[in-house]
Amino acid sequence: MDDAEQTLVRIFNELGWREAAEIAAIVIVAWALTTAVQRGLPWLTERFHRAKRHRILPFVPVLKMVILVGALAITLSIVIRPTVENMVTILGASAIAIGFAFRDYLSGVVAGVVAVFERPHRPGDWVRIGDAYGEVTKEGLRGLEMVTPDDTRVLIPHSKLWDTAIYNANAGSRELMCVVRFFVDPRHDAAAVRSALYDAALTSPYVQLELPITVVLWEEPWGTHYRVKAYPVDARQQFQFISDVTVRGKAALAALGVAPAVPSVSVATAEPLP
Amino acid sequence: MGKRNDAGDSAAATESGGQPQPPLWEVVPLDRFARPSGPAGETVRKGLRRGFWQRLRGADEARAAAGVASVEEAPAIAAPVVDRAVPPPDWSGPATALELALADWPDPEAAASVRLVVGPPHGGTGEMLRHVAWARGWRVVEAPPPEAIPAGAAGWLDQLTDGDAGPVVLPALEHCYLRHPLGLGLIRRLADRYAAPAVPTLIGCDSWAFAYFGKALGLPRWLPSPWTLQALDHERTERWLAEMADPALRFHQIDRGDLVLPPPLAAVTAASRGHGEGDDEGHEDGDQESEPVTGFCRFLAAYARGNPGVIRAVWRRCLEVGATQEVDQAMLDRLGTPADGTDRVWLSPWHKMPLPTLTADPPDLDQYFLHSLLVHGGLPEDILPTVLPTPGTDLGRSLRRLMADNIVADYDGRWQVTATAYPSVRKVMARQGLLLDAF
Repeated sequence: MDDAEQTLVRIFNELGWREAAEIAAIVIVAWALTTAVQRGLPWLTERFHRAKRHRILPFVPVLKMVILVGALAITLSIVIRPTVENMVTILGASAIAIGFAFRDYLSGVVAGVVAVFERPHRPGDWVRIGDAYGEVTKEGLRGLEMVTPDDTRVLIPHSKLWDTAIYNANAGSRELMCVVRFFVDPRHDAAAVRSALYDAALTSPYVQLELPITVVLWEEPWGTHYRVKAYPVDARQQFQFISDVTVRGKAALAALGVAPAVPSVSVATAEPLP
Repeated sequence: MGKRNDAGDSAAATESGGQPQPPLWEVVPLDRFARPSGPAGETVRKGLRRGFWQRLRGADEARAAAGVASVEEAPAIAAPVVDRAVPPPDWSGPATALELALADWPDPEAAASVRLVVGPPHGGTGEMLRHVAWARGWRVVEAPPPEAIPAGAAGWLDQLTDGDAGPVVLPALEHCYLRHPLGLGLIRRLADRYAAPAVPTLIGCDSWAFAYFGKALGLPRWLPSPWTLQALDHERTERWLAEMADPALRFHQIDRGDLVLPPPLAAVTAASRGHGEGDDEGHEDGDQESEPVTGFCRFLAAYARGNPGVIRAVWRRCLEVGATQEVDQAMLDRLGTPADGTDRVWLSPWHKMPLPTLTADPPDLDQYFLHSLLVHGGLPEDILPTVLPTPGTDLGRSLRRLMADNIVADYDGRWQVTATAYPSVRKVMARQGLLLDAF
């Protein structure tokens, strides 16, 4: 037996059928636990306390990470003799080999690990990443899954975290701010309109009364721009809420006799072709 | 509300067996309101049975997908004996308690002031105030019709100060607004007027509307501290149900034959019996010489949150269900013939009682519809599309479905959550994170 063989013998345990069965069992148990956490926790939160789902769902990726790290550690302790020297040798060698082969994939995995701790998004959050806006439904090892308001599933790699801005509308809470815009002819009583639009939000059945309602306004060249800022009880009702406040606001404005703004469009005359 | 619930009983403590009994009806400041609690064992058992397993099985989901709210089926048979046990409501007892609370009001020497009484749905707040107004000859001003509220209900406000300077009673403040962009003006003007009232005014308000006013308009900040009818705990529930029933009736639990309510004589000594924490399968601690009484009323009072209207409705429902049950002949033989010519009425154990139950995760339309009914103290059908963001046809479908399941019913032209379904609906509102009352 030469030196290299002796080194390998020092590093690795002898692997037989029993060890192989143990590793297979670890893989199966880890997979089962991961699946249970991934599917079971959201399912249970929906059934038992919908109002608290935003507090519970962020634990999904953390639990999955704990399960994966635990499974990996147990598997390594079966395959390798767990001394410091052996661990450094094997992890260093494998890191170089795997790093070259799966660089992009590993970038995503590392970003996923960072995302678990930095929490730029969590299951249940409403986020915008690039052109996509929707509710995060799943955090995988390599990427996240979101569902847009038009019921389209979007898969986004975690590696986007390195170079893309992530806009999170609710950041783990149940409520998110909605902004409803009204464009009004400038010749009106602004205090009355502001009060009417405030009541439009205040009377919506979707509104979260524990959080503030704000109406801000400013003048534009073509009229007055109002923005009603308020929170629905549940982030998933944001579009129903916006629609409802819009309907109520328009009714209130009509009752006040306030006309909508008509933007003055200046159309440039096309230059004559040569 | 009971047949023999006279002013003396409701207003003053009585002596029985040397032990002072609290008055059956008490009007107390809101911060002294105390809900009765149920036995912990029953809470866990019911939580498991009706909550955990039902949700785990996904029964709610299946029913919701089918478009049907989850309601336990129960026959609705109004046996004549039920009418003897539960006569029509009589609010004179609570009204007498309110009169006592208002003994020094209005003070003719002082400036006009406002008194506010708040109570939960079916809690009899409005009836109590009307009774007091009738007894004292005060003027009652009913709320304007809901369709007049968005237009400002011109002239209605003047009714409050028209006529003599005598006290005015406004029994249903919850009917003076609509959750509509134009529906808050009237209540705001009312608030401005009562910041410096011209005449003494007694105002009644539903607890849900009061909660909405507090969050949305800040009304309780200028209104005086509210008063409320104290919740009925299990002892008061026992006394009240026993007093309202025909004295010739005895109420027995169908599985063991034990009494559910103490007989009239024992009711007098109820305070000396000592109520331990029993369950509906067993007995409460009791005097060895008196007949054993089950803990049925403890569960009933806790389920109804001490609300007399809910207690009465659920009790009636329990009796209707009991009237359809077969009684075991061996038990009848054991109990023998009633000695004093009384009639026996049978009830199922509390945990087997079928009551209307709203599905734990109802469609959004149903939950907002029910919440709107609660915060408005009921609404007429034609006003529903005004306050809800749903087309009238969908609302009509939701309304018929909930009506078929006994979740809502028409009370004098206004759709309201039924008294029997109210505890279940309130639980669902809490679970969905919607605004709740304090009762």
